[in-house]
Amino acid sequence: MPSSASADAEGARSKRKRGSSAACASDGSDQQGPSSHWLTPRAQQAYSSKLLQALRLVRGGTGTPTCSASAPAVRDAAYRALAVAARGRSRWSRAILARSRRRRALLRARRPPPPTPRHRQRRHQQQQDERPAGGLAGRAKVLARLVPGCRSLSLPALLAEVSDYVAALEMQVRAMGQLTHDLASSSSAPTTASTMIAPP
Amino acid sequence: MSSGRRSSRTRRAGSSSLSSSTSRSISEDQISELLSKLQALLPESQARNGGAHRGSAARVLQDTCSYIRSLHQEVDNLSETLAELLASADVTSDQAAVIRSLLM
Repeated sequence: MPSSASADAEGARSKRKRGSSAACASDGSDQQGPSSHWLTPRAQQAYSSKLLQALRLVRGGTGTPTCSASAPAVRDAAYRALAVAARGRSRWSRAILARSRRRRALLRARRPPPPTPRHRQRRHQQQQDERPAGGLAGRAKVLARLVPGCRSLSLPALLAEVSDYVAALEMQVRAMGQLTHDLASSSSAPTTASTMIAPP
Repeated sequence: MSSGRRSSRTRRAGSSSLSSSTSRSISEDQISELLSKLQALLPESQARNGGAHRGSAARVLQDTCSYIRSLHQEVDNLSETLAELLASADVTSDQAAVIRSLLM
């Protein structure tokens, strides 16, 4: 488990590209494939297996079962698994992985945990309410805040990142919904779960 | 740390403005293509075909914001459901094997 995680992290690190407009243009051209890639069933299965591994780590990581199964921990694991599935090809996935690394560093340095991401989301929502979206530029700014790591992007690069992010989020919702259904059916009636056939 | 971050942000902003100013015509074509791809991803805006070019661009961005927020909300809801399932029923190795067989 940790070796594979470190390998994925190394892959993400090696694929990092920080550049000017040329890098943005290449990112835009490269992301035509990934957006269609999220629609394949293989990508969803790969994500589901990674999410299961992440959930096991979340359960095993903390001692208390109630704390380990908290909703924020599950959500963070889901987004980390999504970023790992993206293999660091997009800016939003790199931003999510960097965020998780910072949190781990904070946990190692200090014993008290950092503030929950819900607070951060609330702050962002308040900021959005304070600034009403006027024209195209205003709405682009609001959109840039919704996608991780895309606040300082130009409009073409932002649109490319958003297309990939939306497709990835849709796949994540499908995979999590199916996983929830499988867990509920297996916990309620194990016999029916054993006889169930996996839906396409 | 904060000063470094601020300087890096300002530098990025400068570079983005330079790139946008140098290639306006190419960026406009890219923007129209990317907007059409983004519009294809949105379920709501497909029904709203037809309209002013500028208005349609603004609507696509606004619809995208709403759609991303709804997807985030769905992920939050599913995370809570998954957390409840994991807390209530301990997932044993047998159930994990069942899930693996279902997923594969």
